[in-house]
Amino acid sequence: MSAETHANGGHSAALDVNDLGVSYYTSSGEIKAADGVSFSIMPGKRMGLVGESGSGKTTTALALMRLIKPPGRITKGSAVIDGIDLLSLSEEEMRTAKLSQIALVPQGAMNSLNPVAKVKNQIIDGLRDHDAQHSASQYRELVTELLDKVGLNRQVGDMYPHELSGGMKQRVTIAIAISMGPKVIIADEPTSALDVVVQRQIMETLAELQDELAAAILLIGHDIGLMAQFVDTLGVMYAGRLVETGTLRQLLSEPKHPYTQMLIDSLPSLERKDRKRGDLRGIPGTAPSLYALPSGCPFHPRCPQAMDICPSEEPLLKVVNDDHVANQGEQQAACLLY
Amino acid sequence: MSSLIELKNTSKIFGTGWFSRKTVALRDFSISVNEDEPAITALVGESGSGKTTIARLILGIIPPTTGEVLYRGKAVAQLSRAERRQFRRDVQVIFQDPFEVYNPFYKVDHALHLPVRKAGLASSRDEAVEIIETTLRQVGLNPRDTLGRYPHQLSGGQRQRVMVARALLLNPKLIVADEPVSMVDASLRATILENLRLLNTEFGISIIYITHDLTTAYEISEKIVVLYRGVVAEQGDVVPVVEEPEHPYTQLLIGSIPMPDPDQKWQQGLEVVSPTTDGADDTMNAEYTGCQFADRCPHAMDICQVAAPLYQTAPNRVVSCHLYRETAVV
Repeated sequence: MSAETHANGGHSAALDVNDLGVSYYTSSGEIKAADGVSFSIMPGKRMGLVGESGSGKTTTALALMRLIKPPGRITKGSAVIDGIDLLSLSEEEMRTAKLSQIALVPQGAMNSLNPVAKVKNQIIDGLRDHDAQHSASQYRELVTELLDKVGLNRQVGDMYPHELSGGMKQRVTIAIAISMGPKVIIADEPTSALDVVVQRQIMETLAELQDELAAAILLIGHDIGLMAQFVDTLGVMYAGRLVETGTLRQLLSEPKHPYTQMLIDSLPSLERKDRKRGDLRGIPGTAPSLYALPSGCPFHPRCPQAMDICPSEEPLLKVVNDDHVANQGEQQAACLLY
Repeated sequence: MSSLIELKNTSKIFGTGWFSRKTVALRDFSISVNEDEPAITALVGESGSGKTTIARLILGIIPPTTGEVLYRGKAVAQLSRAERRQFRRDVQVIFQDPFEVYNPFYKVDHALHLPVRKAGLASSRDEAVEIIETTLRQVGLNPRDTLGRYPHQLSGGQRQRVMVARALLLNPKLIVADEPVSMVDASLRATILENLRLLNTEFGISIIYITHDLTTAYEISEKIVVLYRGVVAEQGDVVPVVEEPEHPYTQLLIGSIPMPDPDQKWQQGLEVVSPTTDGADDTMNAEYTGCQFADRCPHAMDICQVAAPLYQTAPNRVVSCHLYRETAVV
């Protein structure tokens, strides 16, 4: 996808990930949790990353934040923001890059806030770590301003996390994430524990703030419905690889990879286009164990369109655009059908 | 009409101690599961809506604070030993988390053999194995890949289907499925929901499907109960309720569902009123008697200081909202 960056001429991507690999080294051998993941996001754009549990989407997010813990290790690749490769920074340099270059809105806000610290102190912690110049009253002002941006009133600053509802806690994590005006925000299933009404309000807040910062967002999740409401481009992960990328519209209306096709077909929906209520279609089989990946294309044992060649040859991402949607941008799929 | 399980005007209030604040988890709720017409009924609501409280009342895990829980017309608390055994067979449950229901030190076989033995379904071990294998095949599992394994060796979807098989083993009349697919991947969700529907159509088992996900409820159920902070907002046949919601809460809920379609964005112009009191503490207080949704409702009126009764807006449909006060009360 770095080709796309160059094709765009003067504009360069906010985040350019190239050939990212993350492996866990266990007694049973090396487990490739993410392998050869490449994508880029332009400033002000939103990309979604979907996949089942174990597909490597959260691993990818953690790798970008340099939060992979032993026995895991980033084995290869680069992730470039503003000409700086995050993956080759020293620990200390990465600490500075966090919040100011790249920030994470974590999954399950209830577990990511410190239960024994007031909200304001948790927000100030991040600010002070980067820039200790301000006076206490300036910090107080900053906190009020940040809380206001995420739609919380200033009293929330003096509260502890347990006094907040799930939606409010998630808003606090967003306030922390945007506190240093990052260029890239990674949101890892930020609303998976919230009900749909709150989910919508939070995603709308996040979208407004992103506009203001002109930041790029990488939204990790499994809810394609939420993706359809929020992102511009979409990547589908399976068994640690990116198997299809493209614009949202391309992937939803003309998915090329059989896995994407089945994933979209399996969605329960209130929409009745070509199927009647209750016509549910699952994907047969189960996601492969990363300990023993099938040879060739990892999806071939579950694929209805598998061919003789699939178990022996590993497909790489290649452009699969149909001509009439070519102007929408590049669509790529890793499937031997193409 | 013989009802298998009936909840009659049940309420559940937690925290009835001297110093703790009373929280009403469920207010004046009635439902009847009819043995003759097995149906799938969805209970839909966000967390704190009382849906799991209803499940626990039906299963007899907790007693109601007021009202009655009846099994074949008799209060669950007063069942004789034999009746209670039959109750425990007739009413089965599938829990949300297929990771926590297993004892990790036993093979999954244990979870299947135990009910067979306790209910005396088989006279010999071979017969028990045969019953178990047949049941596993009925939910689409291959016994060879399932039996003899430890829970951690199975995928989440397989574990959940073993639980469906366990429930099915006892030949129940009613299965309470509490968020059975919320911890399962999208690709498997459809398969498990298909299993549930099969239990209903093939085996004539009634199902109470508890979920926060309106889309799956719409896909598999016939009837739906939309709950909000312990009260029924709207109840009726699933198609009219979802396609033409009447209660403002149902409207808000349905308008907020993210559709997997870029052309159908979140309903614009839908007024989202933030609750004045975030967190449900105040309205769930036992002293509050107004409409639970009033603080978030774009149509809130003075009359909403008093909770609305259930108005019958159509033959099979009730709505608890003063907007429909022209229609008859149930």
